[in-house]
Amino acid sequence: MASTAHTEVKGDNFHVTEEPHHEGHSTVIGFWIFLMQDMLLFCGLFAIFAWLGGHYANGPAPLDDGTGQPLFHLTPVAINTVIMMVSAFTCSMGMVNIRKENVGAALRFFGITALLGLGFLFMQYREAVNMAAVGATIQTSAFLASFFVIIFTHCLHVIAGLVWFVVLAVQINLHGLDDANERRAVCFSMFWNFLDITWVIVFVFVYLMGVLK
Amino acid sequence: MSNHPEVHVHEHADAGGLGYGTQQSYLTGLGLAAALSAAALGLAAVGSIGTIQTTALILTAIAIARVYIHAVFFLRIRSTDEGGWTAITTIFTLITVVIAMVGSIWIMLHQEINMMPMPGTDAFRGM
Repeated sequence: MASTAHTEVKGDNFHVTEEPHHEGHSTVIGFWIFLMQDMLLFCGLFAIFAWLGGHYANGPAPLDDGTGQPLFHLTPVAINTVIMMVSAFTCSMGMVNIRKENVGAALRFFGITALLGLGFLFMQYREAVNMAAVGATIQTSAFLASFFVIIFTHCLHVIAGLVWFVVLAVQINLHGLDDANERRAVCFSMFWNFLDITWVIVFVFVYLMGVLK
Repeated sequence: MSNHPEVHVHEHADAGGLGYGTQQSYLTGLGLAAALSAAALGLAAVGSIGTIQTTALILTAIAIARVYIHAVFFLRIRSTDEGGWTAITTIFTLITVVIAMVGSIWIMLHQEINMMPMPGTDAFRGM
């Protein structure tokens, strides 16, 4: 930031005076900028899908997997949407308890969030297995390649969130709810909310728009 | 530390701000998000209303509303957070996203229209 240092004129010399900042003063804005660039990564993937999403190479398509059945089943997708939505809520409730310094309740809410994240990953795994069973893999067509890259990238983010939860829980158990752990909890909550926002875009633009007829 | 009250988590506690909503705002956000998601799902399950283009536009509007609700009720983004830097980076990102999405789709679809149909592609079947 421009305000972190200012110059003073003393005689003929210019001095840069460093102002002291407490640790972590720029963590939230820094993490926000990270999330924004992560959004640009997803934006690139969505732009690729917008172009390649209709290139089925005579293979499986969202409404017909080759056997007359739809490739995209809305029920598991709806379940995943509910899972992400509820987990964003439980994660935010964890933050309410962090603010009240209610560590046990906060960790329980974050734990529920992580369990919902595991459930989400399981649903995504099942979907990929079911798709592979009808010959729809990442190598089948440009449509499926761009589709699976989006899904895998999102799942990698969910896995990162789960690892973050474990690390956060260990840190809070070791050091209690100090300022550093509170910052980590804020960032975890921002990250998990970002996962839900990304999933909403996948849900609408990839799945729902794919099954319009 | 007291020189920077706006960035200290404890002192933000009751002021809202990034990552600091209330249980009430989270419940409102969850309700609105559930309603919008159900509407989008219902629309897609019906197939489409009117033309595919109309339905796609409605779905896009629902998605934008859903992201906006998330930003307001869950993330609690305010234009004054971090001295305005969150708002500036968000606006910058949105501009970049719009340029990248619109630009890519525009260029690639035009490129596609001008391509020769090749054996094995969907366009070739129409020949």
